[in-house]
Amino acid sequence: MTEAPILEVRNLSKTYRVRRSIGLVETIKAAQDISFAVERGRTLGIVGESGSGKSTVARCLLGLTPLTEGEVLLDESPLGGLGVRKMRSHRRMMQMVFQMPQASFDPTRTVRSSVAQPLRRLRPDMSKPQQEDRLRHVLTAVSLGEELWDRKPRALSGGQLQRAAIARALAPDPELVVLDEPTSSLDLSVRGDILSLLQELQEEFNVAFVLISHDLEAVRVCAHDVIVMYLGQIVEQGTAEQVFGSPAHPYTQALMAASKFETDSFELGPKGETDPTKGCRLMPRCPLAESACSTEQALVPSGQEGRMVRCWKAVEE
Amino acid sequence: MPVGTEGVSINSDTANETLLSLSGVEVTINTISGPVHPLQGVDLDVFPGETVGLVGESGSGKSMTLRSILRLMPPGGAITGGAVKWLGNSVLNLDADELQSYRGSQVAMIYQNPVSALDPMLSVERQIVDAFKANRENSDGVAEEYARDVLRDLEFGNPDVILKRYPHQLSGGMAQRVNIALALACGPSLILADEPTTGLDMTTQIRVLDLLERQVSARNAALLFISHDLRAVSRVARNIGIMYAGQVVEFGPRERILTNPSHPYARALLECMNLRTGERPRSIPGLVPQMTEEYNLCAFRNRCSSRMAVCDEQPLPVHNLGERHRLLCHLGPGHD
Repeated sequence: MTEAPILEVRNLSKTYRVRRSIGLVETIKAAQDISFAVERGRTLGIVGESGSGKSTVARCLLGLTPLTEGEVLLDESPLGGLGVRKMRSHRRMMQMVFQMPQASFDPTRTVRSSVAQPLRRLRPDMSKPQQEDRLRHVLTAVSLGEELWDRKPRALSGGQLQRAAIARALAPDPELVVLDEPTSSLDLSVRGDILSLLQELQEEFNVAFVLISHDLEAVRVCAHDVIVMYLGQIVEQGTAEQVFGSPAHPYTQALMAASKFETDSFELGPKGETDPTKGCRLMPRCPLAESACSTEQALVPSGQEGRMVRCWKAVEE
Repeated sequence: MPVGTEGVSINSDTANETLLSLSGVEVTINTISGPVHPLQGVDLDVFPGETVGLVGESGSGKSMTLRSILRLMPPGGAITGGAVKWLGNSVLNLDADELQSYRGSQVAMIYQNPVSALDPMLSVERQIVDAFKANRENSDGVAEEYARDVLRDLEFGNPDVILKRYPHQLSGGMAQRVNIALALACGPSLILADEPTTGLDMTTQIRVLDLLERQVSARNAALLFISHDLRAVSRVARNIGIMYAGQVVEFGPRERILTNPSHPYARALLECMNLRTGERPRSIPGLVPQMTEEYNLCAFRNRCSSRMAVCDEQPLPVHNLGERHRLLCHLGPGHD
């Protein structure tokens, strides 16, 4: 693609300092040297277990927390250190859908009023009637029945409310929407509904998605590109076809086996109590670990074009 | 009267040594906005030492089924119909003392949120020891030894360290293993597990499920496991029931339910589970029914792709198809 990516993340690191007890401060590397790009109108999936740093990356993208190192470029202009006005224009371009739809709506407002809020705040350039048109457009696009528009969130089911949340995110006409586990609080019978809606909306609105999920199946069907994270690091990166079609990193292989509940093929050891500081972070759990794994592992190109893997054994094969 | 009792009954293969038997269980909860009917005639048998799984979406009555077994009703709720029998005796007639010893030492429960199910103020050791002594007269020494042994069974590498910990010092997977230790403490014959692995990571989930299944069977106890995730249930349970709108609409051996279920809802659910690349993800159109209504006819018919005229006229028939395979649907077995 010749056009510049809508989002570019360069060497992002985020360190949290946690006070364990008096005089003992521990630093936690929640995200380490993360680099990726999201092309316009495409979907990037981020997968990993809890504690892998998925949500930290999301928070950094949205500017909800300052970066420790690195930079985030949204439409080629850096995020961070911005004034309120500049931040607002970034906000218009970048929206978010949260995991729990019930918790992400003001229970005292109607759905219509909540969905209109980002339009009022972020699109002062639009006239009242234009905003009203836009509101109808997005609510119709997510197929939310008109009889529900003036109801309070509690009158809607989880699936309906998640549709409303997606409409709210799309309302100010963003270039990028970050979706944090958009289907994991929903029932299986509506999961497919939301996933196919996302695919339709991407075509209609030409919007890029960052889809964060531990549901590998959902990411596999929706994402064009995928990042697999483990303890704050990217361990595998590539197109969805590369990563899911022939997973190279032992962690990716284990995640895929686990998501199908077929661990007999490949099983990791139990989650460790402490993070290893040197060498491969997966080493204590990895069934393939050897002494050579105790040296620092770099994320290096492997095999097919664009694929990156952080495991010397996978690269050698 | 539970729906379908006047229906076709082909062959009944209920053995007489049933551990737990629910027949036509109905629960009504009185709320400010009127009565809610989460269970509308649940039939379910559990035999000694077997593993049974119940799958259903939110609001299908899974958790309420477990609560009715323990007679743990929410405020305003009551069992208004049917029977819950433990070894042939009605659980609904137990007095307070009998109920106390029934809960825990006959039937124990593992809850969904492992950390909040533990007492934050007590060490792991204290909690296991208390649970162990709850229905027994034993010295502390025996109980402490039990605590160490059970943690070793549950694959804690260093039980002595874990025993001294408090719930906030445990990860989700560790806390759920401690809950399993508590449930096993009184040597129950049946363990109820309410979405025991739902909040856990995929890789941890499988480990906890396998451990649970192994430890329950090592103690010859039965397991009744509920989850919205058919994959988790099929990992553990030999027999699987599918719940919809407060009823078990299909029940049968795992292989039958996973490969060739008869109920249209069970089929649709399997379709939703299997996502295929390049194909539109499937969903079930329509909404989950409101349990404020009492259903005399099939509650799924408005969403069903195989709806027939009879579905709007007749109450649901019960088909007993042998090998404990049981179906509540007008279509009956063997359709395609």
